[in-house]
Amino acid sequence: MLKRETFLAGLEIGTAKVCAAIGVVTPAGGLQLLSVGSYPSTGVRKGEIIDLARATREIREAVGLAEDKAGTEISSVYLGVTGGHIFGDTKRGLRPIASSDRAISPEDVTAALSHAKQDNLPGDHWILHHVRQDFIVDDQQEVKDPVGLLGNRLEARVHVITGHGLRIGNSIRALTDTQIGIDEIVFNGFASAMTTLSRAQKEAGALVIDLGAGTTEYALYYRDILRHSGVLAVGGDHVTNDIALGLRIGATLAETLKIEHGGAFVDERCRGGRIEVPSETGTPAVYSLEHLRRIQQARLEETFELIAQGLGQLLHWARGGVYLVGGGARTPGIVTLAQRIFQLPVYLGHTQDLSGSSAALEQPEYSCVLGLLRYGALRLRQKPKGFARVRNFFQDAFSR
Amino acid sequence: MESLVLTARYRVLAIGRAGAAAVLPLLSEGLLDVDYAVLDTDPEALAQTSIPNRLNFGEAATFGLGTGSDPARGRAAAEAELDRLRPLVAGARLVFLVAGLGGGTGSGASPVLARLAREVGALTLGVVTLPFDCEGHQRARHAREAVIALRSAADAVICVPKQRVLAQFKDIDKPALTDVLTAANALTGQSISGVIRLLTRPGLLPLDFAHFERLLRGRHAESCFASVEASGPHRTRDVVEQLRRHPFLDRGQALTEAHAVLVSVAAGPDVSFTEIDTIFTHVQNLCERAEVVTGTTLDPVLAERLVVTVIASHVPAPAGPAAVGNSVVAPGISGSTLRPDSGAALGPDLLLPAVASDRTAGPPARAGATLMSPSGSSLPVAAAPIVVGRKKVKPVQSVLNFDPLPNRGRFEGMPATVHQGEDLDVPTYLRQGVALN
Repeated sequence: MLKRETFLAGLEIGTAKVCAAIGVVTPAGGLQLLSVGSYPSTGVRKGEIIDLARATREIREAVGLAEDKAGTEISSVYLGVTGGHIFGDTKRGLRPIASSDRAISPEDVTAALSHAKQDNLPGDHWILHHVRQDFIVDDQQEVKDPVGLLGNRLEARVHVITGHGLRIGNSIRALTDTQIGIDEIVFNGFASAMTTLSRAQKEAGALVIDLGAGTTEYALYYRDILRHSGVLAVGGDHVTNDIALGLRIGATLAETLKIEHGGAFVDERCRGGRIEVPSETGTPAVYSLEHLRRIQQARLEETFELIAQGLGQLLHWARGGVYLVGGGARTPGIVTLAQRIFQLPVYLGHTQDLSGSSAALEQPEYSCVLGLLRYGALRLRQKPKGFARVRNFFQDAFSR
Repeated sequence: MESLVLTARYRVLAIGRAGAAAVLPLLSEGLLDVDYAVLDTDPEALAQTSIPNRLNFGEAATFGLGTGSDPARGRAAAEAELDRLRPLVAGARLVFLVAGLGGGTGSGASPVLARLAREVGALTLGVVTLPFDCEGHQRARHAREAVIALRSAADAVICVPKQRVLAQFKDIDKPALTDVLTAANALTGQSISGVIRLLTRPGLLPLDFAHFERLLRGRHAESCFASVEASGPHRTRDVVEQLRRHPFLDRGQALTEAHAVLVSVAAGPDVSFTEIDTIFTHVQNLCERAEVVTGTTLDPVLAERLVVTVIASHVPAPAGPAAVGNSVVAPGISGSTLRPDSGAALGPDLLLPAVASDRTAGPPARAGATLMSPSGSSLPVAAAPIVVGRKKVKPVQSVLNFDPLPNRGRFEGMPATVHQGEDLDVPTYLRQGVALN
């Protein structure tokens, strides 16, 4: 059978922008970006939809833009979700080996994995992803494939990313009116990491932080395994809000000042600096550059500190580096600030393994939506699209 | 181990090594009715100070080795010996807690002492220094956490970021380390002595503890105070100028935005009415929307010197602003002198420098109005409160608004993002008390 090109699309309903990307999996197996459509978002706060009608309208716009540019139409998307309700947790599932020869069978592995998955899951939460980490056979740690080994007990470690069902449901509802189907629901932080890190980086250990407008997601890899992930419902919007309150100006002006004069920390050059904003009356309004920076620094520092706290001891696994993506990665000096807090090498993340001519490839804001494409391509490789189409998400969610 | 017993109504407690260094210059000020004490977990540090009352605590928690810059140990040390610490604050009306934050003892033990002091009913003021930027991230974080803890425990906390003191030396090529530290300690010491003088010296236009307490009690982070002094023929101009630039007052901005301000002038018997009038008028002009309480004290010790203390509060008095009003007007002079429009007495020497110095990030208010109150020492003058309607003063500088309903801006009305008990939607700089000057 002749292999054909397969189109796929990612959709991120972000706090700053609604963003759709269309890509194509070439017969050779590569992923090529065709287009990105982005439309300013007004119906989302802190990563979650608060105005369904607006969100739907903006989704239509963004998808329309992407479709026009790609010259194709899409029928379904990989939908990215985020929000403070999403948690990543590493769980353990235990399976005593009962067979007479004490050899671990594939069934034992499945059972251990499913125990781990279901461990301690709140009733109203859905599992978005469950990523197998490794196994422990008796005292032997970090076993990759235990089938056939001898032992008394098998323990599986699984990283499970869960979210509140109703709040994820809001994102799904925003799509119901648009005639766009959902291939799968993907956690944004997972998607961002997917396109930012190469396999070698995941092997060496790396932390990806997506500094979004409404939320900040992070994912930690070590030895090519997802070790931890999470979301802070704090983002660039908070920086703007802090500035607006601190300098007593409107949110729009605060956003402008942040973009034009912002920075991650107070350096010598901006001490005593002033920002003059022309006004209609002729006398320009004057704001202190140092205050702006100080406010911004406090927020960014705190965000990084909370991530470091959340990772705790695991942070040392990120020895390969901390990669910053998302709009917040554009903040001047953010790398230095992050270095100071994590005490690790810090880099700006770039999209990898994605061909195409779009400028979006170079922009940190789009790492998440491009990651959704990458996730989709990966899933297509695992099972042909015909199966993926079967929307088994709801079944999955409710059949627990 | 017995504990110290202090008897004076006002107490200055130095916690840790940096606290002791800041309190030391106060000893020679000759203040009345004050007891000083220094507390530390490190007996060696205690042995080096000349402050008479010394208390070594926390031996059980630290084995007499100090805290090694671990605030958790500092706190544990203090909490383990509450009974020995309580006599330090028992019977006090006003307790100053002086510490350098960022290390172990000051950061850990100060909030515990503040709680003790509040428990015995004393008005509790923390005066703390924050580490230099170059001291590193860890100390900065300890200090920030300690400020938050201290704020919730004390009636008011004044932070002196040492980095900001450094700004005073920006014209000097290589400021000596000792000079910078001395300057930071002097700022701390002056403010404390100014307040104590205001309370203990007989006033011509008296201000009493009740005024003081009403301005500060229960306001937590929203107050700031400063004290400046000058002598010589241009002393009026100098004190005003110093107030304008005082780091504690955010270079005057704190006054512009204050809701209530207490100004106290202390001087030797040679002080003239014109001088006092000038100072008060300038402060009045500066705090347009505040209720201003003024007072004057004479202190022979201060011959030739003029000391002005200012206390500014950023939230309306709990009882409502009206209650403040007339009851505070001092008999005699104050009522008539304090009108903002009585500026006839303004000496030219005052006006000109104020204009000239406007280059700083001072408020864009009228130049002549930018006078700050000097730190109060011996001549507290009674205050006449004037409530000026809340004019739209153009805000240039944020105020630490620790309203009961915190400021959430665009996240108002949304479910809070609570992380370990903190609402992350409230600006970080407000929660951490990052001072904007």
